[in-house]
Amino acid sequence: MRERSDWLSNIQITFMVSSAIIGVTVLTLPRTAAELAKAGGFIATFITGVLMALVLVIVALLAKRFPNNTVMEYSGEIIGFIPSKILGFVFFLYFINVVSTILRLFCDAVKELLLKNTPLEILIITFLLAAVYLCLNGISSLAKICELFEPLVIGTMFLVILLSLEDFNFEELLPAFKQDISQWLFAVPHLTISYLGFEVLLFAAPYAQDTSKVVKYGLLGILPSIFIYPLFVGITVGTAGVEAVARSLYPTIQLARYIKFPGGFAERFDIFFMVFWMLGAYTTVSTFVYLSSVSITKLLGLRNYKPFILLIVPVIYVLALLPQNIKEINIFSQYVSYIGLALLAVVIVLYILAVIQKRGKILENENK
Amino acid sequence: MKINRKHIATAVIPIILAFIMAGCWDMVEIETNAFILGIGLDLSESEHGNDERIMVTYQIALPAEMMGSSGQGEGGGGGASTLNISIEAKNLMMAEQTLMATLNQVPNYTHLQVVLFGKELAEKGIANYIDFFFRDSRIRQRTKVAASKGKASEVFKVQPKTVKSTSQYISDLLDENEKRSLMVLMPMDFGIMQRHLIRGLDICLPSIMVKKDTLTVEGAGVFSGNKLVAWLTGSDVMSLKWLHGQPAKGIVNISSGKIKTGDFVFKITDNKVSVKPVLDGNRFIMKVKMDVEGDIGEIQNEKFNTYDIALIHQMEDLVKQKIMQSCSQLFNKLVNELKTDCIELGRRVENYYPDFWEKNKNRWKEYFVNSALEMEVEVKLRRVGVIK
Repeated sequence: MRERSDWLSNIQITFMVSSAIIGVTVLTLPRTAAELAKAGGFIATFITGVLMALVLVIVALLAKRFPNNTVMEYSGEIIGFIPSKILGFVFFLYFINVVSTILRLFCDAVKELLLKNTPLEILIITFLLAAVYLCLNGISSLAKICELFEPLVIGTMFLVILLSLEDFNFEELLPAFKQDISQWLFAVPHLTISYLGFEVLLFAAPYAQDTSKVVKYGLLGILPSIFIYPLFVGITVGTAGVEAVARSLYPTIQLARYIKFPGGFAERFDIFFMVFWMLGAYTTVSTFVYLSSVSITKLLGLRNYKPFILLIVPVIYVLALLPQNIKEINIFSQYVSYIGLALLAVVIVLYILAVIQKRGKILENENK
Repeated sequence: MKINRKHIATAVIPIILAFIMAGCWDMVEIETNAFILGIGLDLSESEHGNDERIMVTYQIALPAEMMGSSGQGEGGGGGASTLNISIEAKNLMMAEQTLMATLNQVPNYTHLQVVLFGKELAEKGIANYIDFFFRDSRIRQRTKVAASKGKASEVFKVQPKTVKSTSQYISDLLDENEKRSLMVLMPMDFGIMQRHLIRGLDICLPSIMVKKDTLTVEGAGVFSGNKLVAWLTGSDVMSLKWLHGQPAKGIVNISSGKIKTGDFVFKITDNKVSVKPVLDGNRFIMKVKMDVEGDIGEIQNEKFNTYDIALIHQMEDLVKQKIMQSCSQLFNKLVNELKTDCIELGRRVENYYPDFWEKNKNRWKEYFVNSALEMEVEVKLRRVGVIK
């Protein structure tokens, strides 16, 4: 299988994971964290990140055990044919819903913040078609785009964080240290949606050049988000205060707008940030479109996923337009994150079963 | 000829492009943008039954006039470089609609520098008119806010000679000179306002006065809730900044008969302030710790040798006393007379004692009026200028 031309390098694996994780939710994450955990939001976000990193390790180990197949194919070995088909169908539903939720969240934010008069449908269609075009070219194109865009996205986010330090007031975060740990743990389930995305490992591992390193490079992929997300939450709360962040719908944008460039050089820094945030959203949506089409293809036992990419476009479009207002979008995204968590739990169970049943390629020693 | 993929692509792409280019809904030509530089809010004079109405003054840039003489904005251009339009409306969105009916350009808030509240409106209460600035996505939270001692529309009529617009003038002044003068309050913006108002705290805004074509941004307006209750003078602002925990530079004027030099001026070059609330029984003590370093700015004496350590120590002492005295004076005024917490003490209590705040945030005023001030000031006179 290594002779195929579209293998993915290790770095590409890292950036694919990272780009699937860092997406749209960076815009609303501080609000969720501040609503639930008040000043301790950044600690809760960090804990969530660490927990998700542990889950990622298990997911990557599972992928490493079956280096030549996607999860749809080898789950049959572990749990039987029919459960594996059900699991595959759930994966498909999950990916489709993630795409439509993220698409809707993103386009709604763009409509509110940038393009007020443009019809929502147009925003959704253009973005979706751009993502579809990328997926039609195969996974290696997707990986190369992720490799190209993601460092820019991460770099811009760090830049926003650095430039906001001027107005940062550490006192606003002091109440966090007097909080109960239960308050942080209570917030964790709602914050996990921001870290979801590394399921891509289960589907991208077969194309990786060096599957033995999947765990290490996958972990590297989630690392930026474990730092960026808590930093964003902490800095937003430190700059604006807990109540203001909990009230603001797009606290990250307000943070980017609050930046005062020295010397009045660039007044509207938030536009710069939005450009790169759009790239981040683009990579996330493209990855999930790819995952949706691949999952339905494998579910039906076929090999060519490209026709399916076009076939699911209308489904995604309709689903994206389903929520009627901004509160419903919130509810939808919560349900999607619960399904995502359930799937991760199932994957963990799969791994445990695979170990017990001694399936898959057991690498005795890694001589590196 | 066989229809291959290239043909299909050539056919499909223009169709897609046609969809995309069919209408640029949000495009506004640059010339049709009305760049609103400043907004002034006043109480409306005419009576409309029981409806309270406001007079919104928009200061709109006229880029053509601004480009005028030199490209850099130096010197006054010929004629007015801004257009002031006053519109009477019930709220800010209605005012914007009427503006669109009055002007041939599309309002653009991206360069909004300053928002002014007129005295009468501030005294009546600004609660009904600030949500627009927080909720609308076009307004930056960095926009400065100030209170005017007269009508806000009068302020915008002043045509400054060093920049092209009043709003820019006020904004520059607050940005630059606030760091160098103790009479100018630090700029307040919507982010800070939102933070204080959500917590039920009070705000103080820099105050602007217009006298015969000159603008002075000196002193501060103190709000209790959303109503203006008092004006503080330029000399009060010094202590206000320090109680806020904001380092301030400027000059301290010492008039004292106790020192041989006569009156002198102490120029602060370095300043560090830290404020911490401490719970003592049932009341709070605001502990302020200050480090001040400075020079001798000016002595009201023709010839005097200031190159003397004992004299320097004496000067340091006098400055220290003056600082402590004016800070406690202002603190007492805020606590006893005005009963407004515009020095962020509530915010600090929330940060240092979150449990207490959770229980008592609705009754914060009661605790505030019982608080005390404890100051620790250290003054060091480092240099004396360039002559002895």
